[in-house]
Amino acid sequence: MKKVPLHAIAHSRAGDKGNRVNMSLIPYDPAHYALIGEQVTEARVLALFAHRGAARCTRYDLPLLHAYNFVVDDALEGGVNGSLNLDGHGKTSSFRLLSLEVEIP
Amino acid sequence: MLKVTACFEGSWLGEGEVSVAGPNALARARATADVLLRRLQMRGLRVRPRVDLIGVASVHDSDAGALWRGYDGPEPPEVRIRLAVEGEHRDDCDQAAREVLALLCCGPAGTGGARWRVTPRILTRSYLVPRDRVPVEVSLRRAREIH
Repeated sequence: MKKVPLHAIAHSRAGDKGNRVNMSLIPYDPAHYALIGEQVTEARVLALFAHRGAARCTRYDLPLLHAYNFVVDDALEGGVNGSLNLDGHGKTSSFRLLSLEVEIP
Repeated sequence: MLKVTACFEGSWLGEGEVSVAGPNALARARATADVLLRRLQMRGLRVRPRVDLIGVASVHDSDAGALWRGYDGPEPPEVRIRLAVEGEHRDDCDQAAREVLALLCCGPAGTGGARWRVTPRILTRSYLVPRDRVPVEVSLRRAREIH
């Protein structure tokens, strides 16, 4: 087993709705779908946004597409119109997710 | 029920930026950030502030600067310090953003390239509204009638 950032094996794209951030996570190789499911838990993703006071994270599994969707509530310190962040939409959040490390064979 | 996004005026965004580069850039950037935040407090400006250290941590950071305050990676060659403030009073936001200008001759050494601006903000809230309270009408007009 070796440790790699998710960036090495998956794609992600993020968007917003109010004060929520929404991130897809799609492995390039369907063979990696299961290990991502085991290792990229709601708790680990929530922890990535703890410094912003994120309240909860829900993961939606899409096995037929071998993809995941993460929705993190209260992750944008106000959302696009209230935030002081340069990236009020949280578009760059996808690469915060892709920095998480996973173990692959 | 229909989802309605209502928009409100009445908030301002002030932004000021200044750069540091070269030896000890990170420590000077951190000192600059703290000076800016302290100056806003001392002046009693009615704003909610945030500082970013662009090149260290900005878009992934929190308003409190958890990531740039905790950063212990390699020394960056350059950092752009961004102050962002929000408030109801345009003049307070303007004065807060202008604090970066004073840094050109005061404060931590070697700051440059100050820019600032104030822009109006539109705040939005989402509501559910009964469908029958939303009148729907479609009318077609020719461009010639409008001009």
